[in-house]
Amino acid sequence: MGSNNTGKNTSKNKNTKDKAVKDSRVKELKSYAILSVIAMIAIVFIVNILFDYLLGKTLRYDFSASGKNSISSTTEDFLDSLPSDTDIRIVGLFDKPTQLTSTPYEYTVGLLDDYAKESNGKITVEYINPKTIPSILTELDPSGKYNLKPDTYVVYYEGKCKVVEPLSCFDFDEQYLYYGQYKPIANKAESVFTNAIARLINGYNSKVYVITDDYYPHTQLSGILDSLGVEAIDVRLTSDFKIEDDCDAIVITGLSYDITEAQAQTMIDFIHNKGGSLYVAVDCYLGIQYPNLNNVLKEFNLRITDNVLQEFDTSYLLNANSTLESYLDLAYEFSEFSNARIRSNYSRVITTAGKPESYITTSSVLTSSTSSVSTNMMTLQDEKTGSYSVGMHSEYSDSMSQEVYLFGTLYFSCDTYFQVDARTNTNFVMNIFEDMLNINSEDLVIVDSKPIDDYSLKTDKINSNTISAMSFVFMAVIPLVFVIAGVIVYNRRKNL
Amino acid sequence: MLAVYKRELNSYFRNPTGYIALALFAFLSGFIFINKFNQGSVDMSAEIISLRNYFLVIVPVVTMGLFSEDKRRGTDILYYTTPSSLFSIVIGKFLAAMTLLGIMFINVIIQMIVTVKYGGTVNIGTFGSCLVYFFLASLFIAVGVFASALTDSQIISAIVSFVIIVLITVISNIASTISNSLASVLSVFGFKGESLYKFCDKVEDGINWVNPLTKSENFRYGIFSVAPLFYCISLTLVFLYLTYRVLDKKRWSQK
Repeated sequence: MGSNNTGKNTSKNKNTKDKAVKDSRVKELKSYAILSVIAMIAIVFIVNILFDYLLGKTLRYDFSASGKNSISSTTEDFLDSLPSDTDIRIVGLFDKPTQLTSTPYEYTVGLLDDYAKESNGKITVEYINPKTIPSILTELDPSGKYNLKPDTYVVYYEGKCKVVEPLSCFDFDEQYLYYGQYKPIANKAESVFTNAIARLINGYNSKVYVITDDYYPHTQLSGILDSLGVEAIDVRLTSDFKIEDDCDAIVITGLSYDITEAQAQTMIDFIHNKGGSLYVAVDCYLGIQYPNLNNVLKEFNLRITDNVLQEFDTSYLLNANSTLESYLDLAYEFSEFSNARIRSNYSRVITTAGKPESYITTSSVLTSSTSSVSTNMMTLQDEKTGSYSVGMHSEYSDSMSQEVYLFGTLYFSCDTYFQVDARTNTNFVMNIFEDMLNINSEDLVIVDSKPIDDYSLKTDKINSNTISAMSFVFMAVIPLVFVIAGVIVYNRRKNL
Repeated sequence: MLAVYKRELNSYFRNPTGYIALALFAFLSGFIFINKFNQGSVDMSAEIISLRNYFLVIVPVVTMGLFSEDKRRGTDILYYTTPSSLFSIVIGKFLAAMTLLGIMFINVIIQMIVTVKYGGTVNIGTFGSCLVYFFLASLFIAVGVFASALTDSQIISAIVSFVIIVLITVISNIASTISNSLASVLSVFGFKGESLYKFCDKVEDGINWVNPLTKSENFRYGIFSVAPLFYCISLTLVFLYLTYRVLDKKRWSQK
């Protein structure tokens, strides 16, 4: 009996020992499993953090159809030309948007990331919401000079700011309403930001005073002048109107009233004493007469008539039902100003003023066909059929600076009409002001607009039958085919 | 691995599961496509990226039976007796599920052909979106495979993978909630002002960094970035390794 007890004890001890060995092995394997999982997760996260930090921005490509997320070679060259210690901040005064579809930010967020990537540290892009961090406004604009507001971009360089509204990064077709909004027709975000940077760094070469009233906005014209390095200052005609010494040219566009005699005299003094230039644009809408403005233009032997142009050559008409909307011919000596046909509507006829001084050289810029008629807006009397000028140029032959461009159309200065043919008009206006202000285009950073991504289908191929057929196939036929196949397979195999 | 892959792929078509998943995906992707087609404008890149929202439903259906069915029947013992390594079995089943998702994608290819036929745009950005779709699919499939290995019930497996995928989907919301809560708590302890907001923003950005959906969002806008793809592959490997570890536990666990 004693030996049985000893045998049982030995067996029990052996089992206990085996169990202890097994338990320790299990513990070891368990620890190894847990540690290996933790190590793997840690390694994966560390490697990904490093990858993101070192290569995240480099291994990034723009696959969009319009190249909206990448800067062009023009901007790249410009950024490369900047000194290596240049420090430009682009600050979005809002939280970085995450949902970009159908918002203006779809065309700015990705693009600005590319600015930061390609600038080699010269440009940083941040998104700081002034509602949560109000000090950003005083940090960028301590004196409050720029009146910074939320939901805008600020380009900041050495204490100077340029504000960019997200919507200003687009050309809009203002005559077309698309779901209650103006339809964007071109993306000029890169042009806007590159020019903002260029202006902050290089400053302005010329200054132009733009005289207008609120009836005809001219943001497009101001943007073009900005891209030419010309500072455009809006001026309202007041009783104490005067022209500052730093003014290189005056732009008068879309005035809905005539200037006063005193204001006319100020302008005449500007022309003769300061050698200034003029750009004047009117149209025949509202039938306004400009006797005092004509006195100024008389100094260049030019006159705004009270006549509207009617075109009767069908090859010039834009709309077969309207003789007031037509193409215009560009005079030979200005043919380089545009590659495309210029268009206009409700054009006012421009003529000489009957002051053919020997020192004044006057020429037509834009003319109608020889089948057009000039109709007086007051008397409705037609003049004889022939070719009439809608745009003219005049200069003093002994002066480099005193010249005027006069247009009887607001197509090149008023936003509403400008957008009808934005690309052609932009090109045309840039050439005019380059000529007028003696700007060397090689010194400029001109960035073309990009198209808006267009995923439209060809609607002439699609009708209600097509849509019904597509709906039936994709939402009924194809899923049903799979469901029926599944049912057949189930029935065949359920008894297996 | 090849044998496991073939067996698993065939099993999808020997029972209704595969057909249900194919029908479901066809219907859902067709729904998005027809809505856009009706509007006269089809952005295939955005549509393909949008399909990731349906992984919530499709992935649990596709992956719920991968390991749990074998566990229920008791045939999972074959994993430990077969000459193939356990990891190759995991990979084989994972690839079978990925192949089924690839077969589903044929529907999208048909939509691309229709889009081109009707004058729409299919460009390199669209193919970039296809690539990120498959990388995200691999991540979610790996999550489903892991969930399937945890249990012998297909229903529980589907629920677990659904919950994990939902958590991944709502990481942004969780990050925002944590950030706001942290701001409230810290302000009670006297922390105020811009430094508090900056800190909480950093916390939110840190949590959002782990969200694969946020990382891949830019593909919708034509921005192709390698970092999100690398991240998806890394997380896929993590979940496959976790699956291997769960299965391997049976070897040494005494339960």
